[in-house]
Amino acid sequence: MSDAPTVNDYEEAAEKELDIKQEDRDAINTTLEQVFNGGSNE
Amino acid sequence: MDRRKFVAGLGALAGGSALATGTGAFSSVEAGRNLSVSVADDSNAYLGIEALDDEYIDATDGTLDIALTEANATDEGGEGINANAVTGISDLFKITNQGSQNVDVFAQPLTFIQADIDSGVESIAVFLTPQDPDYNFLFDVIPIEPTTIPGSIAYKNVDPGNELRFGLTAFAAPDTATGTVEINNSISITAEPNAEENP
Repeated sequence: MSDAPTVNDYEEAAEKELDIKQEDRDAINTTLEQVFNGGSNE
Repeated sequence: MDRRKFVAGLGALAGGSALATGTGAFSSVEAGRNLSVSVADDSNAYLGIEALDDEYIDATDGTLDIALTEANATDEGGEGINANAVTGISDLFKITNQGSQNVDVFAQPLTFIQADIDSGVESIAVFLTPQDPDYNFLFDVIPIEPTTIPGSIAYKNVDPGNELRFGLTAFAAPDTATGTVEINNSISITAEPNAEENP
């Protein structure tokens, strides 16, 4: 069983920092986990 | 089967048997078989790529395009993601192994970043998001282009008939990103026989 992807996963894949503020980063990670588990917020 | 057809069939079988016993050994056999290869619509190909949510997918020409744009507005009038917000959409499309052997599936890039060249402030990021908690997928490193930050994902040993679902997570900021930045790129999805299951 895999964990939900995080912004870090995408950064590590790209070997480059994404210039995203911490509060936005937290929101993205929350949404990534929602989508991973089949949820949407649109 | 009625009696007339049964008799005719039996006669053909008897004739075939006589020919076989009469020819004896052979030095070589050449058998011709037609080889036909065609490109199927995504939903019917050996690697099936199929929309799960028609609201955000344009598959009119048989191939799948993810389109969150004015040109593919939703029935409710949505024409794009919100600025200063994170948008999450699950169950956008699925990849299905419609072949006969176990395969490794790769998708790339997963990350799309675009910033306004003039201001450097407005930006949009899109993360193609896997949705298969039961699968062990691997993120991998691939070369970086100037305006996109790609990553790839690998699913090992996907059984025939199994599906891999994908959603999307997107972020745009600040408010002035509306109408100033957009992403227009393509995703590569490939499959190859799993080396351990198909030595």
